[in-house]
Amino acid sequence: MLEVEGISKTFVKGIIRRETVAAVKDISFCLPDGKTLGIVGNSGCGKSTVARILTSLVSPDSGSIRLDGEDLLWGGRKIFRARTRKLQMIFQHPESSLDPAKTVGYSLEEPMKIHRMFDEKGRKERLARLLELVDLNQRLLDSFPHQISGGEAQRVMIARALSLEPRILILDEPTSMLDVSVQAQVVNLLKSLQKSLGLSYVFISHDISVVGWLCHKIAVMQDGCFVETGETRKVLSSPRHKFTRELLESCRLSQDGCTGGSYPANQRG
Amino acid sequence: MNADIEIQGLNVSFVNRCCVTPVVTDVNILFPEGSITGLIGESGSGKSVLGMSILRLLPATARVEGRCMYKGRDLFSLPEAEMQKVLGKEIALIPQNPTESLNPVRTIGRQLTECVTIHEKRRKADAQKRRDQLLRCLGFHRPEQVSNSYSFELSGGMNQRIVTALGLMNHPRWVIADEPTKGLDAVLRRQVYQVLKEIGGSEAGGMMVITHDILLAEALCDRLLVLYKGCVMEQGKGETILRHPAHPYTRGLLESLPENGMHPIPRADEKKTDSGCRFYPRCPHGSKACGQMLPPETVLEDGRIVRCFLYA
Repeated sequence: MLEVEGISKTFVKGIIRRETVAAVKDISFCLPDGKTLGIVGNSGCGKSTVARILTSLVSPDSGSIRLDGEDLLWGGRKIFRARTRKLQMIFQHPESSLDPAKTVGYSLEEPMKIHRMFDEKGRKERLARLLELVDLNQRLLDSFPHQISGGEAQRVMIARALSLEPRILILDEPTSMLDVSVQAQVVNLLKSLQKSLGLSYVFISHDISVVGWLCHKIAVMQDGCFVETGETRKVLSSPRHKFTRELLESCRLSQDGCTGGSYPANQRG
Repeated sequence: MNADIEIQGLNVSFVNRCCVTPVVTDVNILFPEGSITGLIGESGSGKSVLGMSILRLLPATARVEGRCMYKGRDLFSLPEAEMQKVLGKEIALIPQNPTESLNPVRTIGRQLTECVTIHEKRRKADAQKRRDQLLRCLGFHRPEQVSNSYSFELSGGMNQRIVTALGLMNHPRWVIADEPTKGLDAVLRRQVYQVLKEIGGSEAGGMMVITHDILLAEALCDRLLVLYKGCVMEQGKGETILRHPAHPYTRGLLESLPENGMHPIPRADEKKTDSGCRFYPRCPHGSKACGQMLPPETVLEDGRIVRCFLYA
C-alpha cells in the first residue's frame, strides 16, 4: 500500500526577479496493492511533478510518502536506494530513455548491476525471462535503440523497470507517442502484468479513454490540486467538478459549447 | 480554376548503396477541391511520405515516380522556381516535429510574418494583424508575448500550435497537416481541431490531415484514406469507413481503440511474406492468393475503394 500525504512543491525561477510557481499543492492519496490510480489533467497542471516526487527525482517541500509504512523520503543512502527500488518509472519517450550508444541488452542489465542483484549468469537468465514476460524476441538484446520500433522500445522500458522487482510502476504518459494498435498492445500487456505480478500503477495521462479502460481510481488534477477523485466509472459517468466536465467534453471534439475564440473570417486580398 | 489535387500512379522508394526500399506503392487518389481528407494508418505506413511527396520535400535518396496534377500542371515536373511559388502560398505544410521545424535563433513573431511578406509583398503591419488573430484563435491569450519569444522557450504543445499558425498565415488553397494534434492535451486538441474545421469549411480549398488520431479524423474529415505499408487499403467517405469498415486492417485498427475494447491487431506471422498483399502476414482472413499478388482496387456499391481479395 502506497500512502501519500500532503505533498507540495514550489519551484523558484529567476535570480533577480524571483518568481515562484506552485506546481503541486497539498496532494494526498493512497494506492492499495494491485490497483491502478489514473491522474488526468491538462499539460502544465503538475502531473509529471507528482511522478517525479514519487520516484524521488524531485524532493517535495513538505509531506510524506510511505510504502507499507516505510518512509521513502528520509533515511541514509543505502536504505534509500533499497526502498526506492520498489518504485520504478516509465517515461513518455521510450527512445530517448535508452542510451543510443549501448545495446538494448546492456541497458536492460545495468539497473540489476547497480543494485547488485544476481551474478553474471543469473542476470542473463533473468533477461531472457523478462523479455518473455513483455513478449519480445531474444534477438532484440543485441540491437541498438535506433533499430527497434517505438512499441518495442516501450516494452523494453517496461522490462527494465520490472527487472528490479518493483511493487509500483509510475507510468508518465507511456502510450501518448504510440499508434492506436501498439497502444492497445502495451495497455493489454500492462493489464496482464498487473494480474500476474500484483503490481500497482500510477498512470499519468491526458487521454481519458485509456485511463477509463485501465484505471480503478481516477484523480483529476488542475493547477497542482486534485479537484476530484473517485472510482473511475463514477467520475466518468457523473462528474461533479466543473473542470472534470470540461475535460470530458473536450475529448468528444463536439462543436457545441466551444469556448475558444473563433477563427477570423476570410481576409484574402 | 479547378484546384483538385490528383495523384496518378505514385511510387516512392528510398535508395541507398545496398538496396531499394519501396515506401509508397501504386497510389491513385483524387483530392477534390474543398474536401478534408484524412490519411490514417500506423507509423511507418507511408502517410507522411505521401504528403511530403506532393510538396517535393522528400530527401534526395527518394525516388518518386508518377504524376501529381494541380491546376493542370504536374507538380513533380515543375521547375524549382515555379514550385517555390506554389509552396507555402497555394499548398502549405503544417510539419511534424514542431520544435525542429522552427528556427531557434529567430523570434516566433518574425518567422510567422516572414512567409506573408515574402510571398505576398504585403505590409508588415497587415501581417502582424493576421498573426495576432491566428495566435488568439489557437489559444494564445497574449500573442505579443509569444511573438517575442523563441521556440526553445515554449513547450512542445505551444510549438505545435505555432507551426499550425505558420501553415495558415498565407490563406493557402491547400493545407497538408502532418499530425497537427500530436502531444496536445484534450483542451488544446479541441482548439486546434476547431481552427482546422473552420478553415476547411471556409477559406482553404482543401486539406489533408495526416494523423493516427482516429477520433480526430472522424470528426474533422469528409473522406478517409487508410494506409498500410505504403498501400491505400481503403478509401471513401469517412462515416462509411468508420461505421462499416470493409478491409480487415481498418477493422483491426478500429478494434484497437479504447472505445471498442482495445483488441490489438495480431502480430505478423513470420512464415508469410508481404510480397502480395502487404497486410497478409497479419490478416485473419488471408487466403492463398493474398500471398502471391497485390489485390486490385475494387469499387464497392457505396462508392469506396478497397484493396482486398475479399471484395475482388
